[in-house]
Amino acid sequence: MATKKRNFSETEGTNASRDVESDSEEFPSLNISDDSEVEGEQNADDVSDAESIASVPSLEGVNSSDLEELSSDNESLKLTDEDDNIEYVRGADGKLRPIYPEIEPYYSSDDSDREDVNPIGNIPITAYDKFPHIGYNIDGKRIMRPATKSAIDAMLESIELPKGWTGLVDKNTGENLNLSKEEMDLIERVQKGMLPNDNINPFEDQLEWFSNTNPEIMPLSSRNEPKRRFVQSKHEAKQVMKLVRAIREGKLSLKPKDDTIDDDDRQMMLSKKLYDVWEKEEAVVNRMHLQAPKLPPPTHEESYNPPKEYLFTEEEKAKWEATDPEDRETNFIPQAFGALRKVPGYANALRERFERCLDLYLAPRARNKRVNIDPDSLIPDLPSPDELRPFPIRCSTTYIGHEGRVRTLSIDSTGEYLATGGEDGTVRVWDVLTGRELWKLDLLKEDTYLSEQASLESANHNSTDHIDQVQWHPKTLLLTVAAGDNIYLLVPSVLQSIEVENEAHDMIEKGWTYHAANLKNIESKVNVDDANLDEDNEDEAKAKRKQYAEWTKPPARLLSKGCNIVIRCTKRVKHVNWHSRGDYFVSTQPDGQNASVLVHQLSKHSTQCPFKKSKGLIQNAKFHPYKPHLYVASQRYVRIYNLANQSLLKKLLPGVKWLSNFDIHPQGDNVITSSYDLRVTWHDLELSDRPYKTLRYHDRAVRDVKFHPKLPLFCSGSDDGTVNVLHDTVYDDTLKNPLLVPLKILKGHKITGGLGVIEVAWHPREAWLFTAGGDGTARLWTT
Amino acid sequence: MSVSNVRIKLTTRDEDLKVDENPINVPVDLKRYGLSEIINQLLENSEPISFDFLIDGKLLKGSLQDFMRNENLSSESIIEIEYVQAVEPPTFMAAYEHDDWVSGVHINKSISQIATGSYDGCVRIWDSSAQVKHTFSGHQGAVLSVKWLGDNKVVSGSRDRNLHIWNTDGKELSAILKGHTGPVTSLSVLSRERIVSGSADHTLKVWTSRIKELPDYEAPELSHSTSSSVKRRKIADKHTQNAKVKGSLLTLEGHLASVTDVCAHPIEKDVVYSVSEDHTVRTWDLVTSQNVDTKTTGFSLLSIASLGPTTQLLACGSSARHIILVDPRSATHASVNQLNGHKNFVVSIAPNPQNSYQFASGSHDGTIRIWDVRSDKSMFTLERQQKDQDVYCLDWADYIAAGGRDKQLELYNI
Repeated sequence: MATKKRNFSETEGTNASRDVESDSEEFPSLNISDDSEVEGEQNADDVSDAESIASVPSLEGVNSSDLEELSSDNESLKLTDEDDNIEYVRGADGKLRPIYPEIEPYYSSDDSDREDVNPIGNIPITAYDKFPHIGYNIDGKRIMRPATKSAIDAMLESIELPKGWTGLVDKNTGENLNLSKEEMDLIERVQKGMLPNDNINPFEDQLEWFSNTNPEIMPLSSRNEPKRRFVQSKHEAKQVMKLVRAIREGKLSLKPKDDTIDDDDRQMMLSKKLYDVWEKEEAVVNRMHLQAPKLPPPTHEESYNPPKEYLFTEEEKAKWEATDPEDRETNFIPQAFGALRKVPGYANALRERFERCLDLYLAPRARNKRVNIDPDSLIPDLPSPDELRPFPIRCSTTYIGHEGRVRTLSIDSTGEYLATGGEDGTVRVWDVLTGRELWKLDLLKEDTYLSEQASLESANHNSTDHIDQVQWHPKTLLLTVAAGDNIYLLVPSVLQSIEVENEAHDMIEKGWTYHAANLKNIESKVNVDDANLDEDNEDEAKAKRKQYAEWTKPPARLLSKGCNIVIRCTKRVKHVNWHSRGDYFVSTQPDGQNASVLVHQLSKHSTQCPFKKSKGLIQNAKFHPYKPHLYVASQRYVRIYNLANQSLLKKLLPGVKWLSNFDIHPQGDNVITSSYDLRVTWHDLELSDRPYKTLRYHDRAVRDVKFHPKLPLFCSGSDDGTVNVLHDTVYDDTLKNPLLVPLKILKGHKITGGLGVIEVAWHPREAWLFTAGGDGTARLWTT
Repeated sequence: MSVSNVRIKLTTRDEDLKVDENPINVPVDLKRYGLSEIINQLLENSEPISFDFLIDGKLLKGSLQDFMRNENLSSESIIEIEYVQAVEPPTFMAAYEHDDWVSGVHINKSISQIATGSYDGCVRIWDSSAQVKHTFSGHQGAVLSVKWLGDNKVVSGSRDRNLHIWNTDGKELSAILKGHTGPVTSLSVLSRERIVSGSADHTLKVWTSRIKELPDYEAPELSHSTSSSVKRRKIADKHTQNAKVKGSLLTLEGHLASVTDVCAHPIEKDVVYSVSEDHTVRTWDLVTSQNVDTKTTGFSLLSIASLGPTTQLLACGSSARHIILVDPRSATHASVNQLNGHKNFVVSIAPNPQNSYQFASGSHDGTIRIWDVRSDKSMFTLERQQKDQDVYCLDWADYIAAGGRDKQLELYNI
């Protein structure tokens, strides 16, 4: 019944306390407050446990509830009991006021832990059978018989016995007496005459506190060991002697000991095999364990008696002692001893061991994971150089004649004449195939203007004693030479057709007429910069422009040698480059500030300065092969200007410290630069301002780079005396990156004065390469 | 290794050296020397002659065994071996000293005189006693090519764009042939006294030694005459005042780069071959003045020689250090074979006048190599007396004459 109600209360929640209260009237033994808590925590599965708790009779609950009930009924009785000791004192108001006696607080007065029993005494319970109560409590009130169960309950109980059912009735309460298992066990044990508690072991091991055999760690007494412990036992000696005598006399025969060895041992001994405890144990290898590196084995000099040559002489010994302990080759002095036993203890043994441990500790060894990559897969898939023929392979012709370095060279458009300029101040023209010098002009000697200047400002012009650049006109046999502050336009008489030579002469001299007309009729024409200027400033601009460069007729001696025009600039001209159409050429003067780059027009004998401001130290300037673009390389950047719009198109950032030169691909979309910090960079203008590839293969500064005008080749010449030839396929498809394949390293130029290869030039048709070297030669490299 | 035998049949075209043609058994490891000994024994020669051996048109080098292995010949069948008298290794004979680089040489066998052209602009005639018989100076530039026209006339081509015809009897300049606008790089003499010249102006011109037949030279009019160019013109014309100035009969245009060498067809009189730096070998028909055939190779070609009527092959020296053999009759293949060995430009080739399988080549690597077209390797290599001096010109008639950078004309006996 109780279980059912509790289940219900769990589901209903709010009604639980009321139901239980109603229960308490029927079953006063239940501890309400405790149970309600238990119920809240317990699950439905634990109902049986809860039941067992509930079924334990608890008299406390009964008493407390009863006391509460009876408190009001016994009031009169109390008064009567206490009347004897009450004193009545008349108060200020004239009424009697009771003064209760002092309550003496002694222990027995506290009856809070009084057992609620039915104090009926030694009267059988059957005596109350006819009454509704079963006894009286301490206050004399009747203890009512618990409500008898209904017939159904009785029948249910008879069917399924509750846990701990004994069939007995509690004498005090008249209820069924249920006992727990522990209580039953306990009763059982007492009945059998055993100890009531199972946990008590009556036969515990005895702790031995004293021992005669073993010396005690903590002796209980400080008494000395008796003497007999130290003195030989005479009795034992006697016994032994007795045995010895018996053996001597043959009375006692010693049996072989085999009898005492049991079978297993004997078998083991026979097989002479010891039992291996770890036989089946697998060796556990610590994979992360790193073996300490082994010390080298001792050598002769570490021997205790090394050969004489290993022993130190006095000097060696002094030297050894003079050197710092860290710098010594050996940390000991080899010593010779006559015998091993004479070798003293090694004083440094501990220190060395310590240092070794310290080394091992301070230099932790790590296990490097080996990268498992197929080495071939790391090499980019490049076509074999053999498939990319032709390219220059070997030196065929050497052009010998220059004294001092060959600074510059140029090959004419037909590929038959090679012009070189050297530090000896001469310009020479060579037959390409045979290496025959066809023409020579000592410009520095012949040009009196230059020599005068040199003498006047000798300090400034010491370094200008050479030809800085020679450059053939892209169409005719007209040579531009940059030397000192001047640009010379000349036609070498190389016994080519007079017609061809005259054509070139005419081309040069035609401009005079225009120039003369132009001077009179001051009209600005093409100056890129001037377009921005106001009308008012025009005259001023004219005056300025005149300062940039002056087109003059050369001295007679030079004129007779084929030189037609000298352009006198203000600063040292370093580079001259022609436009592909052959009318304009651009010159660079690194010291010229804003006039560093000058654009000259041959047909009009005019010079323009495209920039107002200085763009830094200009290294070189070149025209785009067919677009009106000008590429200007400063120390760090290559700027591309659109000359038609007068705007900056692009600024390439090669990411190098000092550019030496650059070249533009014949198709115009790619630029290579060389730099003094060993790098060659390839810029794809479509791709980015940064280099597409940065190549670093030279050991020294790279001086020059050139694209082949027709074939997919380019090369770079360096101060390490080598020229690297590379293949470059530039695809029409803009999405495809250029393919660069290194082909050949051409070695031959000797490094003289820190300069190897100074300038390179490609043959206009063939895969032939010309190089100018610091060793005073120019070379032709052919397939 | 056991030496097995092979059956060979020895044949020859030389009637004097004929031996019994019945097959004989010879050890397979036999080399040229061994085979030569066999023939000498068969001929019962007191003085042994050395022979070269040809198997299926290929020259035997090394042992029979190696040859058979390389050519996959069966040792079961009879091998037919043709033998010819071997060429003796050439020996240095003499050196004629010049003032400058020797760039042209031609031997006149009949009067045993040699004409040479040099970079100092002189044409020299040497007699057999190593004396300069005549020195003709008149060229403004280096004489790049010189050829005999009969026994008393010499034609020379120069860097100064002109050809000069010299009369060796009268020791005078017969005529100046003008027309080229670039250096005349090569000359070839055809039958009927005709001269073909190749020039760096990309053209070939045909002239004749019969000066009267040549048209007068007409100088092209200069459109722009500036002060300096007129002056230049006068200087150039000054030298030509006392000689007849003649123009060319014919101009052959077609080459795209400078013509480096020309040679005549060995049989047909009106066919000329030329090579150029534009990588081509062109065949010209002089009758129609047409470019009949063009064969393109991969390299600049610097020299050409026709190897004679038997083979009708052309040997062309290239800038890529080898010699290619061109069969002008084949329409498909540019080259028949490629001979490697030289280490620099092959600038001069001279055929053996006696044997149309052999020729000599001179190169900028300073060597002269003698080749047999039936073998891939050179037979002999001649070094200059001064090492590493470029060879520029070469001629072969009974002996080899070669001039070069060392300013020497060296003669080799062969």
